[in-house]
Amino acid sequence: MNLVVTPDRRRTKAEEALESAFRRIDAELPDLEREAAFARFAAQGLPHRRVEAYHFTDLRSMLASAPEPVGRPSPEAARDALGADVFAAVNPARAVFVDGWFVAALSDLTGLGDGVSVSTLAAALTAGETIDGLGARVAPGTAAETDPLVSLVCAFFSDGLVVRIADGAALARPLEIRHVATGTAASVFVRHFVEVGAGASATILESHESPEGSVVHAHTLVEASIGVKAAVTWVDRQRESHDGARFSTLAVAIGDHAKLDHTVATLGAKIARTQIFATLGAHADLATRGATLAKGRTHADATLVVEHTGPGATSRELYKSAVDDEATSVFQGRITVHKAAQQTDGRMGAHAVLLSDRAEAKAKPELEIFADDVACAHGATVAEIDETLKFYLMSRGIPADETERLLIHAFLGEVTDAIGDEAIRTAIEGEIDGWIDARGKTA
Amino acid sequence: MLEIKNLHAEIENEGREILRGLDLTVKPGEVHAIMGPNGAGKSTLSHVLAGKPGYRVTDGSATLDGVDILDMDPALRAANGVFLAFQYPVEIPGVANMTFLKAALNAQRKARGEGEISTPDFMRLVRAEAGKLKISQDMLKRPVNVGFSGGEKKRNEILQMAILQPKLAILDETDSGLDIDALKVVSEGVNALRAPDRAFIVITHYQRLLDHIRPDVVHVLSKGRIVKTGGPELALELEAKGYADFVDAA
Ligand SMILES: Nc1ncnc2c1ncn2[C@@H]1O[C@H](COP(=O)(O)OP(=O)(O)OP(=O)(O)O)[C@@H](O)[C@H]1O
Ligand SMILES: [Mg+2]
Repeated sequence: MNLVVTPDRRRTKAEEALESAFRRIDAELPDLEREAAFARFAAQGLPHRRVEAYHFTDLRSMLASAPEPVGRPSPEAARDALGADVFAAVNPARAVFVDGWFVAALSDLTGLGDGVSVSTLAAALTAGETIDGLGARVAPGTAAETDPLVSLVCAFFSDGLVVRIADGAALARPLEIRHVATGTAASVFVRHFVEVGAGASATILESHESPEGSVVHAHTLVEASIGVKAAVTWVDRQRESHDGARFSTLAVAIGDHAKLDHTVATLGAKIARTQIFATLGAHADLATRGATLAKGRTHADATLVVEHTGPGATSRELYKSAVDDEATSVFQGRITVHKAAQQTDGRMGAHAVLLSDRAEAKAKPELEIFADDVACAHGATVAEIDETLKFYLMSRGIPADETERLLIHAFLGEVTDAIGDEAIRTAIEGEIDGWIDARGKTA
Repeated sequence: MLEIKNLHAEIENEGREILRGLDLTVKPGEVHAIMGPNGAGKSTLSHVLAGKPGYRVTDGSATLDGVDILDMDPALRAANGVFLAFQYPVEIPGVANMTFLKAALNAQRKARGEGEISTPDFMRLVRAEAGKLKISQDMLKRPVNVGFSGGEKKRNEILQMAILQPKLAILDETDSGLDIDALKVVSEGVNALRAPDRAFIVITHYQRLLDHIRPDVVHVLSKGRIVKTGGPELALELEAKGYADFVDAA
């Protein structure tokens, strides 16, 4: 494909790699606005510290390179890539993507219930739908459009899922969108569209994983709309290789009186950036919580852009990170309350516990309020493990390392306790406890 | 059992000496009461024995059954049988009381080379002890001390003691905050644990507690030293006359 824009500055190695990869895209899916999307990306290049939204996550200097996208894996390689079945006890329906490619043989999309349709993005496009049309149906707001990571997915996506839940319908069992990797160094781009109709309900699980040691740069974009009075539970588990990267964007429009309860747990990746762009209609209710566990020399960023556009909506953002070794956690959250959004109730908290002297946590919560009758608050804390609590536990005979485990678990418990479904909660807690138990055992 | 000799300790950050040459010997099976004015160093003594960070021992020694405990970390001291019921127990959000009790008991068993207690045995044990102390199931399920009333926190301390069965239990003003009935219940809990191979140090301001838990020895601690030692009658004398005589003597 042709490049539309030639930047006048020197490109980084990663940018060059992306550009040459884009030229060689094997256009299995027809044009699809890829050119325009890549042009948007190329005009800015990788974001750097002078770009406000990426001030703490300077991808231009952090991304030394960008691996090539890879083709569809063989059936054997795909099966071997499956990894641990973290949500087994939940028994969800599942759509499995390996290296960004949907693998029907590993997926189970039965028993989703009446009024629910799930197809791959490739199938939807082949059947005559268009990217523009799909985007217009979910219309998650414009805030994400200029984001460079979003542009990259729009330029490169290999496949994705189109989920439609009709008005009043209920997803009969949770749907897991599972992303795994064969371990081949690769940039992977997946793009999903999720439409939840008025009064509908659904539980959606995302799982992202790549084999330890692999260099997978995994990009995901989810564009979603939650209809009037619909209720959605969304849990995202991210466990990429500590040599890889995870870039996730959820752009979601939450309709009037609709509810989204969202939890994300990030436990891996050398560089992770999870972004949520949410717009809330009148009396909508958003709860989003994050647990970030970072160790080694990794960097994990959670960035939220929440817009209250209608009156009477509630949003609760609670992001907690446990940061070990030389890792860094970043939280950026902005709640914007539009003029029409009177009686907005917004509360945002970002809390980090530093587990080593060289660990770092950065937090930048912001409120931008244009309405006059609102109740909004934000708070951020960075602390070490509380010595007083540690002493109390030790004074009962619990050794130092175990007291730390108990206290880290307790610290993150505020995030996981709020997951209503016990099997899902247990799965996420298990991931977190596994990380905590492994502390100090491996580098 | 406990042998403290010429103990000097200061606040780490301030360098202010709080314990100033304290001597104390407690034999197995005995109950010692320590009384003394506010700020005398009673809680400091209990903290230094339990190994709380923030204090520096500059001189002297403290041994339990001949073993120096001052070099041990707090968990090891506990495993060796030291227990402190805190004057101000802390709240631990996110750690369920039951989880905590079990972790503590199993950690101590492990340190002694014993196997883990089975869950049914543990449940039975906790239920029985909690019942005696009138601690509800709800309090057991809640995070440690979170939202507990002052008296409930104190009862929770005694529950931990009853389950951990220490060699040496130090009770720092466990009576403060307890209502009349709870005082009885807690005292009964303590008395039930009195044994020939176990000793207690009971820090209190009031004779009232000592009516329930009869001490063998009563000490007055003032300005970081034991300034007077006597029998149970000493507590009555203090109740009548206050500390004036002893404080001046110190
Ligand atoms: N962490 C600390 N930092 C500064 N000063 C301290 C600290 N801990 C204790 N002190 C001081 O040490 C002295 C002894 O305090 P301690 O708590 O041991 O007294 P106490 O005898 O238990 O008194 P009370 O009867 O009021 O409980 C007091 O003057 C107190 O202010
Ligand atoms: Mg005191």
